[in-house]
Order: sequence, then C-alpha cells, then structure tokens
Amino acid sequence: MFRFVIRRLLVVIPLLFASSVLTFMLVINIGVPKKIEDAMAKPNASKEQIASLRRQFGIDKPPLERYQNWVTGFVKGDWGKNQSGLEIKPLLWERMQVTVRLLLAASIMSVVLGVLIGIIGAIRQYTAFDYSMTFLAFLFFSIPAAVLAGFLKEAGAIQLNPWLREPSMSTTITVLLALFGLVSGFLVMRNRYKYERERPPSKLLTGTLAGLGIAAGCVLVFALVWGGNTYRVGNPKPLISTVGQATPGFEGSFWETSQDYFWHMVLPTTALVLIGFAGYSRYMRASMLDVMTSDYVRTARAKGLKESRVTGMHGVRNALIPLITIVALDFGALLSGAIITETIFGWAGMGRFFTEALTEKDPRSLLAFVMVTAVSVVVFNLIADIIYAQLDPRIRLD
Amino acid sequence: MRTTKRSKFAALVVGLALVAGACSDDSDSTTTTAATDQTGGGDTTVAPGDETTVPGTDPVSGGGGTVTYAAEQEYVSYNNGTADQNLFASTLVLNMLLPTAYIVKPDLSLELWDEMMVSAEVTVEDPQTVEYVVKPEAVWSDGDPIDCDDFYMAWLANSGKLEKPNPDFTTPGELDADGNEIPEMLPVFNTASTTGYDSIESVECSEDGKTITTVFATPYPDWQGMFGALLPAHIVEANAGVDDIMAVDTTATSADAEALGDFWSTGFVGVTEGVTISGAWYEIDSFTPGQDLILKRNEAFWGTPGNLDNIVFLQVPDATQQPAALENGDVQVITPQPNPDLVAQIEGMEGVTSDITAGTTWEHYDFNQANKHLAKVEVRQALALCINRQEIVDTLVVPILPDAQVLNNRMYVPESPDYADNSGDFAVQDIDGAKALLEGAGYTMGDDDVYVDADGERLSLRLGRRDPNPRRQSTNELFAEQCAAAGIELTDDPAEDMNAVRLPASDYDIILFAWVSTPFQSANTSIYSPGGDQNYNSIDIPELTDLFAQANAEFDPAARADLMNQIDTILWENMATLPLFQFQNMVAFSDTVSGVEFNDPAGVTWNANEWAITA
Repeated sequence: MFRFVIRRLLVVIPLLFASSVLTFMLVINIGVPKKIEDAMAKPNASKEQIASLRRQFGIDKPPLERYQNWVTGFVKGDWGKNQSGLEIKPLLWERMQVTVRLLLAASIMSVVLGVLIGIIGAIRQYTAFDYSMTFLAFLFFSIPAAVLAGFLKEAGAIQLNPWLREPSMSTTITVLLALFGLVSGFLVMRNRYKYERERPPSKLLTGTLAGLGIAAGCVLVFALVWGGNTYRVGNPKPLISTVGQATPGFEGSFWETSQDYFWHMVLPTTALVLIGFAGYSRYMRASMLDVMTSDYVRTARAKGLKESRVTGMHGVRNALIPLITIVALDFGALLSGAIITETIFGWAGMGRFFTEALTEKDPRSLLAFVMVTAVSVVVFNLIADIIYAQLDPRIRLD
Repeated sequence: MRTTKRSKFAALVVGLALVAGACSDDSDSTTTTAATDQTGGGDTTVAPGDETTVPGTDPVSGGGGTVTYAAEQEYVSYNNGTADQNLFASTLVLNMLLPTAYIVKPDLSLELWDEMMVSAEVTVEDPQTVEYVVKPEAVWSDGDPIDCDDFYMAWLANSGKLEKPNPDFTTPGELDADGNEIPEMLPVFNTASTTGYDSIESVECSEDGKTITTVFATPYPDWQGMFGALLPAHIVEANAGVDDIMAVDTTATSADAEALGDFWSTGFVGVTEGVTISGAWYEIDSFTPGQDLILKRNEAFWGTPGNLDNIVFLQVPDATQQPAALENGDVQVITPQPNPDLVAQIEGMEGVTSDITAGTTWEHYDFNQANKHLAKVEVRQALALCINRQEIVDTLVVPILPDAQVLNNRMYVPESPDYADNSGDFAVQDIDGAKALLEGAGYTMGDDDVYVDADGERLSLRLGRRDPNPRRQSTNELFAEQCAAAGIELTDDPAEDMNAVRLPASDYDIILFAWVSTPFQSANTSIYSPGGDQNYNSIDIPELTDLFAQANAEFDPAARADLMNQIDTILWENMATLPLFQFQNMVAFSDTVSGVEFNDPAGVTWNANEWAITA
C-alpha cells in the first residue's frame, strides 16, 4: 500500500513536466498577450512602448529561456506575477478556496442525490418514479448551463425575491399545494406497492427519519426566510443573489455571514446539482441494474438474507465501483472550477482564473493552473484506487 | 402494514405543504418592518435610511447609502500611468480617488477641477509657461499636502528621459527571439505615455509648494490633459527611501531615481494600506480580488463631500448577466455594451432607467496606399462614393440608437462643438460617379462586371477585420454588396490577429477598425503624417506636415479647431481613410439612484460623488 502510494505520487513528476511543456508551447503560440494587443489598438501607442511591454512580459526572449526561467522560479516557489502585476500564488490560493466552497457542496449533493435516485430507479425499475427521474435526468443533462442559469435567475431570484420580502400564501394555494402533494405521493406509492417484492424497511426508522427531516427543513426554512433574523431584516439587498459569492463588505456574526454565503450559493449550487445529479443517477442506475440481476445477488436472496442486506451489502457496494471512477475524476477536476457556472453567476474561482489567464494569454498563470489541477487529478485517482480496494477485497494495490 | 407506509408518505407530503403554508402565514406579521422591495415592481421606493442598514455601514442623514456598480473588469493598479498596469477598469475606481488638474466632461470638454485647483493658465506663450495654483487646504488622506512634489513626480516619471542599462543587453545590434533589437537602455519609470511631459523643460515650485510653474521646450497646446490622476510623491519617497524627490536630477539617472522608478513602476499594484491613499472624495475601504472593491468617504477631503457613504464595484465579468443583476437589485448601475436584444431587455424592465449615447470610439475604413490600386486617389474616392454609409448605419446602429448618424469628421465627434461635416462630395452614395472616376483612372469594365486596370489586373480588394466580430462582418458584407454595383470586388478578410499583428505590419488592403477620439488633438499627428508611428496606410500629404505643426503650436482653441478641420477636409479630398459611425454606449441604473451620467473618456464614475439614493 505504502509503496503503491509512493509509486503513484512519483508519476506526478514526469506528468507535470510533460504537461507544463505542452501548455507552455500552446500558450506562447496562441498570440501576443492581450495587454500588448490592446496597447497596439490605441492611438498614441509608440513603438518604444510596445517594445517595453514585450520586455516586461519577457516575450522578447527565446522560448527555451522563457521556459527555463519559469521552471526555476516555480520549483523555488516563485510562481511569478500575472500580466496585471498580481502575484499568482496567493491569487490562485484565493480562487481555489472559492471554487471549493462552490463546488464541494454541489458535488457532494450531486453524488448523493444521483446515487440515491440511481439506486431507487434500479430497484423500482419502470415505475412512475423511475420514468420521471429518467426524464428529468435527460432534460437537465441536455439543457445548456446558460439557459438553465437564466431560468433559475428569473424564477429563483428576480421573481422570487419580491415575494420573499413579504411572503404570504393564500389559502387556495396552500390547499392546492397540499392536494398536489397528496396526489403525487399517492401515485408514487401506488407504483411502489405494485412492484413491491420484499419486506419494507423498519417503520420506526423511516418514520423517525422523515419526522426529523421535516422538522429540520422547517426550522431551516423558517429561520432563513421568515424568522425575524438579523441578516434579513433591514437588509436592502435581495435575498437570493444572481451574481457574486458574498455581499461586498458584509460584516456580521458567524450566523449572518454563513447566511450571506448561503444565499449567494443557492442559485449556482442548484444549477450545478441539477446538471450534475443527472449523469450520476444514470450511471448508478445502469450499474445497479446490472448488479441486481447477477448470480451472487440471486444466491444472496436464496440464502434468505434480508432484502435490505441484499441491496445494501451485495448490490449497492458492488454497483458503486464503476461510479467511483467517475466521481474520482470529477472531484479531481473540481479544482479546475466550473467555468460556465462561475462566469454566469459572477464567482471568482478557478474557472475564472483559467478564463482570465487564457484571455490574457499569460503562460505563467496558465502553467500554475495546470500544475495545480494535474496534481489534484492524480491525487484523486489515487484515492479512487484505494477506495476500490476497500470496496472489493479482490482488488490488491501492491 | 402496507397501507400504513403509504399513508405515512402521504402524510409527509401533506405535512411539508402545510408547514410551508404555516410558516408563511407567520411571516406576514414579522416582516412588515423590512425595507420595501427594490428589485421589481413599480413601487421601488426605498427610504434613504433603509439603504444604509447593511451591517457595517452607518446611515448619514441627508445623503448616504450604498450604490453598487457592476464592473466587467477588475481594478488592478493605483498607478494607471504604467504601460503594463494601465487599465480602464482601474480608471473607474481612481476617478473618485486621485486628484487631477482638469476633468473631462461627457462632451469632451475640459474643466478645471475647482475642488483642488485655484487656477491653471498659460502665463507666457513663448516659451510656453503654465502656472498651476493648488488650494492651500488640498491634502492627501494621510494629511500630507497635495502640492508641487506631486506635480514634479508626474513630470519626472512621465517624461521618459531617465534610462538605466538593460541587463539583457550584451552587444549592439543583437536581436531577440522575435527579431527586434535588444535595447541598451530601459526606462527608469515604466510610463504608459510621455506625451506632453517630454516637452517640459522645468517644473518650479513656489515657497509654499502650492504654485507650480511648468516651462515647455516645445509648445504643447493640449497641456490641459496633463497632471491628471496625480500620485502621492511622499508615498513614493518614503517607500523608495529617498528624502526629497525634488532633489532628484531629471536628466541623469541616479540611484535615487532608480529607487523611485522601481517603486513607481511596481509598488502600486493592488491595494496597500498607507500607500493607495486618497486625494479626492472617496478612499478605498477594502479590495477583495475577484469579488469587489469598496470605496468609503475620504474624511480628509476638503471640498464638497460625496453623497454616498459607499460605492461598491462588484465584479460581474459576464456582461450578459448584468441586466439580471440590475433587475434583481444585486447592482444599481451597469454599463453593458449595447446590442438590440440587450436594449430591448433592459427597456422592458420596470424601475430601471437606461440611456444610450454615441461614444467617442469610431469605426472607419483605412486604405493601404502600399496597394497598387489603392495608391491611386481615384480608386479611394470611388470606394468612398460607392459605399452607402447611411445604409450601414441604418442597418447596424439605428436598431440600438434610433438617432444615430453617419460620422463625417476624423478629428471631432458630433457631440463636440468643433465638429463640422467635411465630407463634401462624399456625403452620399454615387455609383455613376464612382464608375466615372475609375474609368478616368484608366480602368475598363471586365467581362465579370469587375473593373480591370491598364495591366489587366482586376480591381479586387480584401476588407480586413478582426475576427470574431459579427458587426464588422456585417459592415464588410454591406460594403462589398454596395460596391459590387460599381464594379469593385470586395472580399471579407477576417483574422484573429488583424489588429495586433497585421495592422502594425500594414498587411492588409482595406481595414476596418476603430480609433478613440480624445480632447487632445495632437494625438492625430502620428496617424496622418508621413513617418508617424500609427500611419499604417502610408499616407503622405506634404501640406499636412505644415498644418499639423501649426495646429500643435496653436493655443487659441477656435483657431486650432479650424486648423484641424482644414486637415480633415484635405484628408477627405485625398480619401486617406473613411469614417463610418461612432460606437454606442449604454448606462442603465435603478430608479433608486440619481445623478448617473455616462462619460465615455472618463467612465461612468466620473461624477459618482454626485450620485445619490432617491427616496
């Protein structure tokens, strides 16, 4: 195990070298830095000025020398400055934190939701639930992020915020909502009943969980939206934001700052989860269906194991293995940020860092970005391999 | 058993619905004290006091509040005068921060900044001597007076006279990787522009430092554009470890000058406590890169204080997301690039005011006279006759700005009082006139309805433009279509590096790009005189050299405008370049804010001190 980890980590060195050379060559060949391009388009730009900019960005030197300069600096921990003169290392660190804040919650929610829906879809195949989730998965998977975001902003912020300011619900709507809940609940349950093969899970457990869920949800909603809470009362800012990761200059208690983060995260997280869960649920469903029809599951049932144990221990555990690969790749790529979502919702994460660096055609920023993401991908794949071994004892690492 | 389970699930759903309903009923009573909604709906009234209740800000009676501006790009540096850090996004912030001798008004006129300046005038014309008098009470936010040393540093830094040896230099004539000669010397101060400052011979101070006398070696009538965005010299002195900047020699490089130059060139990036101080209405409260920059009132400001408590620059890099942010109330002021869809979207919003104006950036075709055909003035004139500029404007600009007009002057935009229509015979399309000109120049109509010259070469030209740019593509398509009727073949020639590489290399036949009109007319010299740095078209009209020299030494604004219009008339006759139309600017702001006015050269924040929250 230890040797395996060391071996895998050593792979990082040639990988970083190869990817940095490739990135460097690509970047220096996509054109002059944007600053110089802009300077040239201005009236009054003298040749001396442009020459001075070229010196400043070091593009007057041969590529090999430029690369050497970068490598020496990078190894020593001096990642250089971007073309606006800002130090790259602290900037990247800052952006990484923002990206993790945005993507970690969204990714975990997508995986959990995707796995749950996949499992239920597989063990309740061809039910109304399965059909509707399949439909939604394909819908969200195929809808462009920008369109989804536009819809969320309109419905989830611009239309919703005025109502959240002074929320009220007429009796008719309350009754209608309740009826909708009843009918849909009944439909789902009916199908579930029809295909029921096994004993249901313990009533006590589901009952307690459901009760706790309702209570927690209500408390949260009440506290966040309707409670006389200090964050909301008297704050002229719209509750749900369409841009930005926090209210500029916001100062408050931990509770208030958390809410500020939370309300800024609502829309981008919803968008990411809707798009993300779709893929996971399809993978999980397919994998689960495959496993549930396998011989060892039949054997397990024949041995008289409880259905929950068959699904949980023999089904889900094995079905998770292929999914781990995908999840590991996605988490490894997490540090690359979500370019489109970050742009649309005005978050300054790694995606923004990347697009800025690319627009500026700045080799140093792009190289720093590639180095960080490459390491992250390797590390997460390593973690995935370790998890395989845990899930499936047949897999040996050494 | 099964029934129980089913009912449990149903109960859960009903329960959730009821809980949601119940919660909402509760709320009515508890939230009526909250501020009224300011995002949508017709009644967007917010009491001034309510605007300021974001924790961390204090309400001020009779003004105050916070206005958030959606900034597409981010503030980078306090010193916008450096070649590498120079960025318009920083200007938007620095407008409220740095003292300046003159401010540029939306109509491109210049006005003495009377908060700080007592006077600024040319006292002697030969040699040009300008005397600036600064108010005695004008101080930086750290208490140091704004005075002569700040002016002196502006000159020292921007004159570009001080040089230091280039460490990369080995042997004369050695070329770098791109084939450019490696210079022996580098500038000590990495200035973006030496224009004007390189003409100054001396900067003298009065006893109290509040009267500054500048003497010019060569006349510079655009002197009013100088000494804008002054930087604090005492800060540079302190950080460079130099006792007195006034003692630094402006002609020979000393160790002190290098230390000052290093800090001036690199020390102002970002925001640093005690360094990025203020000499005007607002000072920087906080800066979170990638997120926002917040300005607060400068308590040390001696003049009329700004109305708002805080001005926030919230970064919204995707301009297409700005309208939603405005409608939602995340921001109150946006300045997106207008296009018909965006204009319709914003005009459809309630509680939002928008204003679209013609700007100072203008589109034009340039004719490269190195081309065999375009070297003939008749061909250039024929092109100007076969184009229907009105149709281009009607198709591409009027949908955004209904009263847009064709631009008929290279020196002034119609908003300027000096604008004159100098287009003469080229004002309207004249296909027959174009054909007659070509035939007069020895062209004959070929079999494919395209003229051929005496050598049998077809009159076929490429229309260069930067790619991607849909509007320029449409402009080129219209131009080609219009001139096909006159027997001239024009083909679209898009290239990503058109402006950056091919334009300076004069590698094009005809090119479509834009210049920015400024109040400073001397900038035009390098575009239209032979040997000028930006004369990419090989324009060589002998009489212009003299006229430019005269104009650049003329102090009477009216006489100068007259000279510039004469130059423009000659350029029309010679058809060196062909102006088309101005770009459009848009500002949209929430009805809760008043006083917002667009200013193309200075940026929308030029008068942010006058913005106010309306009740």
